[in-house]
Amino acid sequence: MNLLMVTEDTVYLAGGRIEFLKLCRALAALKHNVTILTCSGATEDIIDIEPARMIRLRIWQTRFIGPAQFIVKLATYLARPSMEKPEAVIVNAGYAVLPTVIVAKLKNLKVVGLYHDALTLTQLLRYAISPTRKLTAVMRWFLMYAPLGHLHGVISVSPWTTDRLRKMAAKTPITSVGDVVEV
Amino acid sequence: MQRVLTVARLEANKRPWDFVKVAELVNKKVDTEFVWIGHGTLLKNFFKLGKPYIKFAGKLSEREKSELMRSSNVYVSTSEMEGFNVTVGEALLHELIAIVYDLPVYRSVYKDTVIYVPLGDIERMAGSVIDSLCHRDAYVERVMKGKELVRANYSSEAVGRAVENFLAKILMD
Repeated sequence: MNLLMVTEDTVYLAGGRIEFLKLCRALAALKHNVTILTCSGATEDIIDIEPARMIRLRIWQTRFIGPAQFIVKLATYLARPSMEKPEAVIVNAGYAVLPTVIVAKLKNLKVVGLYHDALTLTQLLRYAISPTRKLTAVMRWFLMYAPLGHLHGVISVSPWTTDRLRKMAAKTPITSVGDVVEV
Repeated sequence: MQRVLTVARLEANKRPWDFVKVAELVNKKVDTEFVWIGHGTLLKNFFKLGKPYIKFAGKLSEREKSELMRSSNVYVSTSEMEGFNVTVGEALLHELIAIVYDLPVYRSVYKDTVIYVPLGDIERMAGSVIDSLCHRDAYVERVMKGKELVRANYSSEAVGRAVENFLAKILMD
């Protein structure tokens, strides 16, 4: 399969992001043609993704500006008429989900989301310690969970996450596969 | 000296203060180094703890993390919110005894191969760490079962194939 795998990156390493990259590597090792589309961030030089290939869109990693810049660059990249059409786009849960879903709809691409958890907005807000963090939490929640019903499928990392995602998007096909655990 | 390790972003939902308290309680009975691998917005709060047996190592590469795991004895997770927690699986692959807060997700992923402590019960977690450090043999069977479980279900090939099958189904619709 020809797969485009999209994920955000930030200044902090996050387990979910590393796991997404390991999944990209796993699919490429199974002889799929995997291209990872991401932005500059903490995963650079942390994990070997070969035989997958990677395109990093350069952004300024600062709050609000970084994500906004990535969203614009990502949407522009995906919308390019010259972009080779993948059989499926897999997007890692985060702020890349909504822009990916919108462009994919316009270009008639199949999009599958990879979700590591299923949090309510209340849960996300509980850990936001300042007004700007609360705003970030609301935006993040919306960009990540609002498009759930518009995905062609959802890959979840555990049965527990699957149960919670089913309550948020009952009609979307969901499967639980676990994360790649290797040392 | 024995070592207890955790790998997580330094954020409130990972409860790093619980980790520090557990380290203090354990070190009253057994000399043990506690190492936290991971960066995050709270890192600045843990720079000057003044406890020589607690180390916040920050961001490490996968190889450096693996090396530290290999030379540790026990893995703890004080996190109160997880979707899977791959580092628990990595700890099992390194044959570490894993002690975690009792979250529903772990029951479905790691089953009975890790030691569960009620969420927020620092004394119980410290007690479990001390017991694991002092009586490692009693936990060997559980750890090896965990290692097999992770190898069988969460290898690169197993997860890759599961995703491959799901995608094939989606593409046929």
